[in-house]
Amino acid sequence: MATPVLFVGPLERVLHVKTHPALAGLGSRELAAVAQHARERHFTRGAVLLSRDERAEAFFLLVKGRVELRSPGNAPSVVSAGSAIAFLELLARSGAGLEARALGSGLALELDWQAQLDVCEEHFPVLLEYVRYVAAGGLRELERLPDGTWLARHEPVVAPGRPLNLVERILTLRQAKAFSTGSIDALAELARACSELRCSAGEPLWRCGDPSSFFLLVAAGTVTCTTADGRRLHQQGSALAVGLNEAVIGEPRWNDAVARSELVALRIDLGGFLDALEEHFDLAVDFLSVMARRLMELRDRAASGDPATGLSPAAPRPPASGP
Amino acid sequence: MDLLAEQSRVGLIPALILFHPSAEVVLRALELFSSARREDYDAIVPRLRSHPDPRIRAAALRAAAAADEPGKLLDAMGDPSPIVRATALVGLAARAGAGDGELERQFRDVVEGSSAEAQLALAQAIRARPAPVFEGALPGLARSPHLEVRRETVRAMSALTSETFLAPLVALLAEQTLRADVRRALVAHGQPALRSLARTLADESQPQSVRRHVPKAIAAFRSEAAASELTEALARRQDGLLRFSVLSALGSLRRDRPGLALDPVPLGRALEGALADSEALMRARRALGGARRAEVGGETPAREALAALLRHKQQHAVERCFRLLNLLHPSEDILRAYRALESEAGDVRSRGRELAEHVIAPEARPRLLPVIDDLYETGSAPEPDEPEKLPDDGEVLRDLLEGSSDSLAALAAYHAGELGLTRLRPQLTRLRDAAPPPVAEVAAQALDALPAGTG
Repeated sequence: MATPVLFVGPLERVLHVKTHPALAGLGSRELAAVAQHARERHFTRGAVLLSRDERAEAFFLLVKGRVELRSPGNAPSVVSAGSAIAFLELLARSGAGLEARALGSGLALELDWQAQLDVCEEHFPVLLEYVRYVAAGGLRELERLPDGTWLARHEPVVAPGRPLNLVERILTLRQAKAFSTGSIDALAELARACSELRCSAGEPLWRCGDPSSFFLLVAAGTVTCTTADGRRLHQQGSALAVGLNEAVIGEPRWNDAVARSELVALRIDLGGFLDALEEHFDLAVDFLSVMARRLMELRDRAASGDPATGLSPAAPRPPASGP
Repeated sequence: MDLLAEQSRVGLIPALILFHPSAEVVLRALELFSSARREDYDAIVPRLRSHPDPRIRAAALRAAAAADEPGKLLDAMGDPSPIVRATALVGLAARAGAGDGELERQFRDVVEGSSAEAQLALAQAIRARPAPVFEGALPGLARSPHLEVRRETVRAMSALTSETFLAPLVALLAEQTLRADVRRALVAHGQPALRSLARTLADESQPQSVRRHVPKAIAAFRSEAAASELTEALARRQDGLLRFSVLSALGSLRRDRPGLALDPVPLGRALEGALADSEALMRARRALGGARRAEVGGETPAREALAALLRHKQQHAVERCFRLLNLLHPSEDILRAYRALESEAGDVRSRGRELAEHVIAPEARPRLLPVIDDLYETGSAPEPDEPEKLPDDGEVLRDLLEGSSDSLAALAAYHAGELGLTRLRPQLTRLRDAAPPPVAEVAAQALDALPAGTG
């Protein structure tokens, strides 16, 4: 007996799109915009949805069937209905080298990435939902890092004795991975919207459970974050934002953050930050891709089973001063 | 339910969902049923008026108000919840119209009071039962410190519509979380709103935080008049971000209505400006790079940032050219060529260059292709520099200090201070005295860093 041909009507298509965690929080209008560019892709056993020799130009939402995924440096994995294929890779702009091969017949929705970027430009809530999805994933990984991890370590910077001027703020923002490729115009706007925070060694920045309406970029100095179970994570310089993930998804602080040394930092309030992302689409897309790459890196490290070294195995001991 | 509503299929939602244990589900169902003017749930509504959740009692009351049942409204004025009382108040005021002093006093008490819940209920009830008597109350509620009250007020303004709402609505475009609702409310106001938006776009004294969102709000009208306002705006001199917003809004309008006629004259002028900008930025970037770097003592972070900014602006100027060409001579290939040039893969960029050569209109081709070859590694060699024709650092920085971009001026001032270029003292002094404070501060510090003498 022939297998009945599956058909995914417009409403079902929206419902399938909504099943993906990165899209589940979208309003119906935005979901419809995303689903508008989804096309059905029927496949049979052995069909190649993504070839390792070609860059992924679309992601897939699997409606029916099982697909094997292979990517360099990772063990093969099998995904089934309800999973997304190549989504995080496209967010991270690292869609090369991924192979997806069908293990049987099935059906997927194929969403062209360029069309999705157009949707993001038109409907900022879609992009914001992606940012939140990646930030939430990153937060879950950060929360389980081992004691003593250095999240980032830049060479010590000597900040001027006076408040940072506009150009120095822009240069500080550019040191952060999340903004290193952003346009300077966008960073200038962000630099105008942020405020400078100076504090002495030992001063608390926030407590576990505090509301998180802002994040910090460290211009000079070291921050130590202590989790509720006593693990300490350190960061020196502005390669990473401190407190970004929870602020973006609106969760309370998950650690006590303290200045380990004299600290100069830029405080970026979430409202102004989201405005900058909405107004500067390229900044938003660059930011999203850096966050997604960071999430992939954190997951890879967690999967590699080398938790003792954390993210910065060669990092020195934190300064002795502080609380 | 939302998905069904989006597809205009509210009729498929069973009325029995009003017995759902989740208050949120019941509230949303009542809202959808009411806006779809369904009548098959009337029999269930009276049960909901005694629901333990005051939000559901209020929602049921809104349905009663819509059905014009004054007795129910009067009974509800004795409800212990301010939410229910505020809802009843709106129903009664809508019936009575202007002139009932006692109702007006009670109404004012809620608007000026401190209960966000009651204000929210008021706005929701006005949205469900819009009447001219409420015109005066909504602008006050739009200033509420509570986001949900402001959001519901915007929706109520959308239902009621009045020219007195236009100024507060346009101002609320500055709020990211309200923007989509504000755009819909403005569209609901029709031509007067479009005229108000056009005035705001042209008025440089209006806050940038509002003006930047005006083009997209204009595009939401999806009309020829909207297209005309946007093309006119393109011809005006304005900051880069605003110009880009206008262009992006026009693109979105054209995507939505491919047959829309656009005036080619302002588009042509804007293309000429974008081409000139891309050439000037290419010259400045080349002058700051290459061999000159060694002459001035290597790369400083500020010089590197300046070069990155020039490159980014050059990219933006090229993107503007492509977007304008696509508006002038619509073709999917134009945007495809641009996207390919922006690709991270070299072979894709090369194909993009090839496509660009074919699809760029002849009048722009000889000027745009050299800028593209300079910017992207496409396999086509850029034209070689003629060092004697390139300006020196001082000339480049002078132009940037005198230009219209605050970011470029700030970085140029900082770098002039690093290089000790005393001959730029007059430009730095003008910047210190006339630029916005953050840029003026950088100029002042650069002046302090200059060695004595006039250079």
